[in-house]
Parts: sequence; structure tokens; C-alpha cells
Amino acid sequence: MINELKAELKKIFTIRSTYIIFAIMLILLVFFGFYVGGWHSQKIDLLDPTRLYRITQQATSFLSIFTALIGLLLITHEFRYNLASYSLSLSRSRSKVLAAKIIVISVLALVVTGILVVAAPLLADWGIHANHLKLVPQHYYYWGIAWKGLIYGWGYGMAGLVIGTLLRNQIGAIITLFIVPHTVEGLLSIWLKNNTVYLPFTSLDTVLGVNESAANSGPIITPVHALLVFLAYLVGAWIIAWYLFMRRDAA
Amino acid sequence: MVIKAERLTKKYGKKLAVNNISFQVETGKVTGFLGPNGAGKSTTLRMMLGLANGQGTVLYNGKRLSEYKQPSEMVGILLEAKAFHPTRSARNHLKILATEGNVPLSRVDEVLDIVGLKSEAKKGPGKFSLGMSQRLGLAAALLAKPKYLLLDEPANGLDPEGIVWLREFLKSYADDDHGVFVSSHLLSEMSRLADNLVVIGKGKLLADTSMREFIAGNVGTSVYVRVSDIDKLEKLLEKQKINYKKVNSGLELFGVKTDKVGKLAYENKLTVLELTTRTASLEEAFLEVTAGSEEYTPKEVSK
Repeated sequence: MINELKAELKKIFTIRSTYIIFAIMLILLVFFGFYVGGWHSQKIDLLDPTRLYRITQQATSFLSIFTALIGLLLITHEFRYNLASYSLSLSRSRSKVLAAKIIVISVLALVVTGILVVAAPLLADWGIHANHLKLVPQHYYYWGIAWKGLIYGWGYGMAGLVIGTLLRNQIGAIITLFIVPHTVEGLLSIWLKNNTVYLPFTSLDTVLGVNESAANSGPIITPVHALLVFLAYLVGAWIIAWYLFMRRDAA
Repeated sequence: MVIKAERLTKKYGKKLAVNNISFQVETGKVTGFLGPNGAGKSTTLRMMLGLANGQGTVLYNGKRLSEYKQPSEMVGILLEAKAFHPTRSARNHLKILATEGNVPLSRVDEVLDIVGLKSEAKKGPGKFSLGMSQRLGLAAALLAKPKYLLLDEPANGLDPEGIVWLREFLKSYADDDHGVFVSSHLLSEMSRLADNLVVIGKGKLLADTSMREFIAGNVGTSVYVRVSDIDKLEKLLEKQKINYKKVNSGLELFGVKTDKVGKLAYENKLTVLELTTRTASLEEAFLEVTAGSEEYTPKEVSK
């Protein structure tokens, strides 16, 4: 298993796309944290005692798609470039190969989201001070944003990986990843109304609290309940993905 | 020491791609794997590695591949020349495979050196020619010094020097008590490389035998003769019930040897201008065996 884990890590860090994704993520983090959340703050925002908390929530929500993209590419590259023929014949078990991918993406998502959660408020605070603005004293819910942010980032990482495992087709998986969370679930919300919070990505948003205004108008589910809803979808998706990964031909 | 494939069967929908085939790949020999396009060669190779699901068993020295602690030490594969990420350097590509196969990373530069790609190690293989890609694929197959090599069309895209090098390399690898199972459409090359042949057509096993037996058994040898009076010789052959056909200005005789033909000509006062034994080529034998087994039949070229 150690070999599989090492190999998956190397796969991520030996291709250009990983660094391009991280670079875009970093640029957007600086833009969003320092400029939009700090330097360019409106007066009314500066009076919000949860301003930094909100910035962290929004940055995590906005940038977690990139960890999902890394997870998605990790699995779809195997099939796009026929690397699966090596991975699956060199390993004694397909399950180990898939488990290694899940572990590596989980760790990566947690580390990247951890950095986001720490960097976003610091950058915003720096931007505010750099523009000689004054922010009211802040109530920053460290542990709340820590566990919610990490769960959210991990959830997106897993979502990218499971979508890639299910579809295998890289373009199809990327399109799915980008349209399901907001477009598809957004359209479904017209029909489902208050029950939208039981959709997978909306429930994940509820964990982080980015859709609080929407949630307030419908049935309220706590972040813990929302997490359970999301986990139910994730476990279901993984059972199907795992079965297909074991049963399908490798090309 | 053999790979024993037994009763391999694979369906794609209603189509039977591999139909109950059994064969062996021995160590110490190069076994050629032949068949027309769409015959099921690549599917068979994938089934041998557990990459394509189907029925039947494949045992490597008596055990399934997944039963070995390090499958990479048992088999090295080259299924597709371009099986790499285009921007990941050749060295990193091999390092990943070495890690997956529990092979020391020092072996990476060794195999790059063996296939002649050491100078290209830092480059992304996306811009490699087909021949260079094949070499990288071969390097990947050789990483763990496996007992068996399973290679799908490894000579495709190689330049003449590369083909000669590949032939010599695979022969010496087999001589070193390894088994080499190689598919190729280059029949002249295969005839120089392989000791044994497995031939399939439309998913069915058509032959599993030695190269010599395959050629002799399916086309055999013939005698080509040119004499001073060809009409007279034809009458003599018909009288003796010897099969023949006209070829250029001479006759090709089947089922006889040169000494009998020489004696016949001498006794009937025919001047022999040319008398040779013709050994059939692998190509002729292959076409004979696979006649009617082609999946895709092109339109005949009008002359």
C-alpha cells in the first residue's frame, strides 16, 4: 500500500497541470483575500464583526473546486493516457489502487483547504491595513471554520475523484463537476424548493454555511445534519464507483 | 516455466472477441502472437494481465498474477506505445512505475540507457516520435527485470536499426531463461524473431506451434524448375500425378524433392536450367491459415 500511496503522490506532483491549478488558485486567493476582501472593502463591510469569517467561508467555497479538479485529473489521466494498464497490472489489487487515490486526495484536500482557511483572513486583514482602513473587532470562530472548511474542501476533493472514477472520460467529468453543484442543483431548487438542502453539493454548502440565507427561508438543517446528507451521497457514489472500478475493463 | 492461458473467452455485447482459446508461453523462447486486425490479440493480452474481464484462467508459473507479491517481477508489459502523460518527463514516468512495482529508482536510468533514451530522460514524451515512445514503453516493461515480457506491436514505428536492435535484444532476453510473448504485423520480422507462434483469427485459436512446423504444416516446401522443354515436363508430371503450377517461365512442383525432379528430367533428356527448393515464407503460411478469418476485408485492388 505504501508503494501505491507514494506513486499516487508522484503522479500529482510530476505533471504541469497540478502546478497550473495551484498557481491559479494562489492568484485567485490573493485577489479574493487581499484585494476583494481587504483592500477593496466597502464601509459597511468594515462594520461587520464576522467580516474575516465570511471572507474565509467564501474563499473556501470558491476555491475548493480546484482540489476537486486535481482529484478528478488524478483518476481520469489513468484512462485518458492508458496509464491504468500499468497501475492495475503492477498492483496486486485494484482496491489498493483506488484506496491510495482516495487517501492521497483526502490528505491533499485537507492540506490545501487548511492553507486556504489560514491564508484567506490573513490576506484580507493585510489588505485592509494596507489601504489604511479600519475593521471593527472581529468574532472569528476558529474551530467552526476549521472543521467546516476542512470538511468542505475534503468533500469537494472526494466529489472530483468519485465523478472521475464514475465517468472516466476527462472532459465529461470536468463538465459534470462544473455544472452539477450550481447549475443542475440550482435548476432542481426551482422544483425542490426548501428540500434543495438535501442535494449533495447544496448540503455541502450548508455545512460551510455559505447558503445560510437560502437555508433560513426553508427547513433548517444543522451543519452536522447537512454533513450526514452529503456523506450519504458520497458513500453511495463510492459504492457504485468502487464496483465499476473493480468490474470494468481497464481501457 | 510457462504462462498457461486456458479457455480465455471475452464478449463485447453479443460479439465474441476471444473464443475459448488456450495456449502457452514458454521461457527461453520468443513466442509470436499473430492474427489479422480485429482478431482479438490486444484483448487477449489484456485478459492475460487482468485488465479485461472475461472467462478463463491465466497462470504464470502455476499461479495467478495477483497471487504474486510483486506482479512486476513476473511480467513486464508494453500494450500501447503512447501510454504516458505527455508533460511528465520520461524519467518521472518510469520513477512512478518503479515505485508502483517496488523497483529501486536506480533502475530507471539503467533501463533508459538500455533503450537509448538517457539523453531524453528529462523531456516530456508528448513530443516523442512513435519509435521513441516504443522505446520508453519497452523501458517500462524492463524495469523489474520480469520473468515474462508481454509486448503488443513493439516494433511499430522503430527505424530499421531499432528493429534489428529490438530483435537481438528480445532474443537474448529469451535466451536468458525469460519468456517473451510478442504480437506484430511485421511478418518478415516475426519470422526472424519468434521460435513459437500463437495464431488467432476472429477470436479463435488457429495455431499454437513452433515457427518451423507452422510454415511446413500449412504451406510446406516446393520445388521450382525451369527446363528446355516445359510442355514435355508438364506431360511427364501429369503422368506421374505430381501437382504443379506455372510460375513465370518455370513450374512450381509440390510434394516432391529436387533429386526426383532432376532424375525425371535427366531420364527424359530435358536440359535443366534451374532447379531449387522453395521454402514458403511466414507470410504465405499466415495468409493460408487466416484465410477467411479477417475481420475487415478490403476491396481488391484492380490491376
